[in-house]
Amino acid sequence: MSTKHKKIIFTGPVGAGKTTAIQAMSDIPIVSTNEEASDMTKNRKSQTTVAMDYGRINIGEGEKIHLYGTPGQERFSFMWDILTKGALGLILMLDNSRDNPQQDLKFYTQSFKSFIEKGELIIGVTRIDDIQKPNINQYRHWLNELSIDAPVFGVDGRHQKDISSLVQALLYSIDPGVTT
Amino acid sequence: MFNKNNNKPVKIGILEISTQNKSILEFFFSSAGKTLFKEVNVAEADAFIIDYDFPGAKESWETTFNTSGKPGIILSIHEVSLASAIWVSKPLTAKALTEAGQKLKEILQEHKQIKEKPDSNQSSPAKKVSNKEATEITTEVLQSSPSSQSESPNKKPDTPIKLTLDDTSVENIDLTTSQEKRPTVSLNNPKSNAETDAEIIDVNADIEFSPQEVIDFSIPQQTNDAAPVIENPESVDFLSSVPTDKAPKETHKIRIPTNTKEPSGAEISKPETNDDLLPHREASTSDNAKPHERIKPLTKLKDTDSVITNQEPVNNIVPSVELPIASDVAANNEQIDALLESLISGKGTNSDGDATNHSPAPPLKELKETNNKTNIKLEDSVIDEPKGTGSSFIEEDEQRSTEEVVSLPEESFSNIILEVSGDGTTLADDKNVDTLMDSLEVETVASMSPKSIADMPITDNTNNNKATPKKNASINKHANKSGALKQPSIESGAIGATSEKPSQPKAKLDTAEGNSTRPEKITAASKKKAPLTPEEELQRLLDEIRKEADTGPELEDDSVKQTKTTFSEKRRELIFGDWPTINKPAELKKISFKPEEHILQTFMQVLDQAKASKAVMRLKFKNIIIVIDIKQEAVYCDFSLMDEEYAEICFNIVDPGIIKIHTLDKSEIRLYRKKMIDEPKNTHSFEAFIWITSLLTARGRLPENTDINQKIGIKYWPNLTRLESIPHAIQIAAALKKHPGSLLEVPRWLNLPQSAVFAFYNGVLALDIIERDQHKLKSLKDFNKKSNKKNRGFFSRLLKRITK
Repeated sequence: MSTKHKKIIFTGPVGAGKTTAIQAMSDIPIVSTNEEASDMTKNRKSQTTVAMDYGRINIGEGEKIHLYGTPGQERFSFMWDILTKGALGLILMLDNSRDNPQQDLKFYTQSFKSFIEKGELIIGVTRIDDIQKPNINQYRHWLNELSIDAPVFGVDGRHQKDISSLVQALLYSIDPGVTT
Repeated sequence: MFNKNNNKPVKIGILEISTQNKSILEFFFSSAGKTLFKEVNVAEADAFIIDYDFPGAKESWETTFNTSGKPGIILSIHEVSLASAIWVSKPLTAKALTEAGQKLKEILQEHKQIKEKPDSNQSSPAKKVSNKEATEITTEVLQSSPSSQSESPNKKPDTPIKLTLDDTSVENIDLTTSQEKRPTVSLNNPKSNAETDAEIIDVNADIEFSPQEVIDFSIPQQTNDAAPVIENPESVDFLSSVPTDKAPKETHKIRIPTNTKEPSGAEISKPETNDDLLPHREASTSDNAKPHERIKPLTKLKDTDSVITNQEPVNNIVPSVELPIASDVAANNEQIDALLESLISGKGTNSDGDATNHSPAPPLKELKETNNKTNIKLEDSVIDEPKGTGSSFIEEDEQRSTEEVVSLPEESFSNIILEVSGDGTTLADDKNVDTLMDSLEVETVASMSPKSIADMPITDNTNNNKATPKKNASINKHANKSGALKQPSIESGAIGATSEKPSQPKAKLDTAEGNSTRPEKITAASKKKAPLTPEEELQRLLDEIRKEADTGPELEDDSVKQTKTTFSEKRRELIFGDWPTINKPAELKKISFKPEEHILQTFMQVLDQAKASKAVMRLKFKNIIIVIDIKQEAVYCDFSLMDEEYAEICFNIVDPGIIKIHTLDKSEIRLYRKKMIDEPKNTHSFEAFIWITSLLTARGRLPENTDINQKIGIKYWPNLTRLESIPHAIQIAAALKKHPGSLLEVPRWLNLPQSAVFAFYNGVLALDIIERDQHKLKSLKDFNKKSNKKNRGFFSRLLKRITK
């Protein structure tokens, strides 16, 4: 019996939809460590993730893919390196309604720089259907400025199909030859 | 060497900063950094913190630094080297902030020491301050001569004047001086760190500065007593306003360019006399040094001369001062860092990674104590005594609807622990971490009191969710802040309507107020069983959750599925067509088409025209209308792009002459913009419209004259989640992005039908993201079907699982 276990990391700023995305994909009820939001986070949502979110996709025959969501606040950034070790890839969720998405992009790509250099990065931009500026082209432009080559998709974290596309893009980026 | 002020927190003002970093700082100031920093208004601050990556931060820092001269901490993801600024790399850590705080204290302390020992610096030559960011000129009003200093002890204290000179502000400065009133202009050379002597310059002359130029105003060390110059060994950062209470000076009238005004609007900065200000100011205001002790005579100066000095950086002239280590800060940091690490360590897993081995976890009380030092409030989650409902927890639970909250009062539910199980290895070892994290499982473990879980009371403060589907009702429970029941979030509510999969229940540890919710599945059979122990009850619930997860989502109703299949098959035909496979360029004719004969070509031409003229344009063909609105970056159609009729229009040859093109007037624009709002389903981005129109036009064919042997790639991924989904698009995009290949190669590599690759090619061709530059493509690796095979089977099963 195969006992393969892999993991995918979801990261991004507070309220970008990491928890929702994991919830959309997970086969189990996700485990969250939520805390009453304080300071600026309160403006975006009443509760926010501390520590991490955890979900799981069961493939069968003991094979599982673990989905981890990092806490959005920078103060938990020390966990990020630990979480990304051995991960298949990183899915960066960005919130287009935030004040400065470019800054978020810059920050998180810098924070996970060591991982991105070796592993795969996929970017999902949430709330882009409601707030069209900046648009996907601008994100591509910013990534180009950062010399990062990664796919960018507009997503709705609540839509399983959107999040599934992010995961598919991740897997195919690692191995385009995989067949289904 | 330390006075009591040294242990006082630095009064820190926060300048431009992102809300995220501000929250981090506020948290740090209130916890581990309490002894180091005290946040105050910018006006009262001894030093500043600024997020250098924040838009406009650099300009703000320049302005603040030049007007106040106070040091600061600069947060940036890139290394920043500025005088009197301490760079702290982002992401921020408590350790880095602590170190920065200590350095900041050292700087301020050094400055204070300098103030206390002015004599020691008199013999030192003036030195320059290196400042890449700004050129600063500080003028101080001096007495006209040393004699007048001593002879006029009762004159008003001088008002130091600080001018910030940048490339625009300093031009044509006219420092008109009288014989009695002589300003000293201290100028920092922005590029040189070398020591220089002073020299006399004529400030009446026009001075032109360029930020790029090295400005070297050297001042001789020994100068004429008749022309005193402040020989302040400190950086001008701290110099801006050092009043002397015993050194009477006269206000010197100079003409100051209007653009040297302070942000407040004041023309020049005034010295602050508040003793609560910077340590160096404390030293200054309490300084008993006589004027001559702080004012170095300058030789060879005439009364009418003004002097520009270069001043020495503080760090170069004052021995470093060791500060006591803030052990409490360090301890707090460790506690903070230990907190969440404890959540991801300490549990072993069995062979298949399930966290069934509940080895000792960090006691929650310890976590709680630790968390009290942070803003993470992990409270013991406990269960109240039953409150006389008489019905069991299970029964009550079944009566409630989805997303309700079970409030778990304090006494009986002693521990709910977020347990991350590994193999017991340490996190320090990377290999072990890999192993550990790969097998991480997170489980909720409830260590309950002897009371039965069935006795747990239910707090049901809302009855608004009766209409919520019963499905998963007992599983999906959310706790809100107050512990009251609440509706599922908008997001989760919307999932059912929009996603193909029902929203997943969410097990949650609500640590806010000691309430806990947990995933659970209550069956009818379970009601009849004898009461289980709490451990058994929870284990059973967890087992059921796992079983449910293993079974996957429920199948759709057959009729719905059939309808969907029929529709997708039809659509697939319209996009891919049914064409023979080609193997060489000569066979291209079998499947080629002429783009200029189709409506897509006309649309692209009109789009270009609209972009050029910034007009709103309309195409009318037969009974369809297409409106191109450049400003809205949108296309409005009075039909659905999914209509078969539109697919036929795209596929068929169209005489461009019969397509009516019209530039809309204002009233028509208003009309169509209203329609765009009213009919969002008929409003599309340019990218989405072009994508689908090109697919329907080509229907799996290729434009004539396509070089099917040329290696191509794509410049970037199309936004596939917002384009009409076609099979294998993600795989083809990934392949072409990483491994350039020809239109004949790619289908073979990926084992896909040609039509799928050709359809994708048509889409990205119309979007103009085909990469044909062979130099750029050469840097990419060739596709190797055998490479990356390591996880291929696993990936294949995963893809099947998430796409079914």
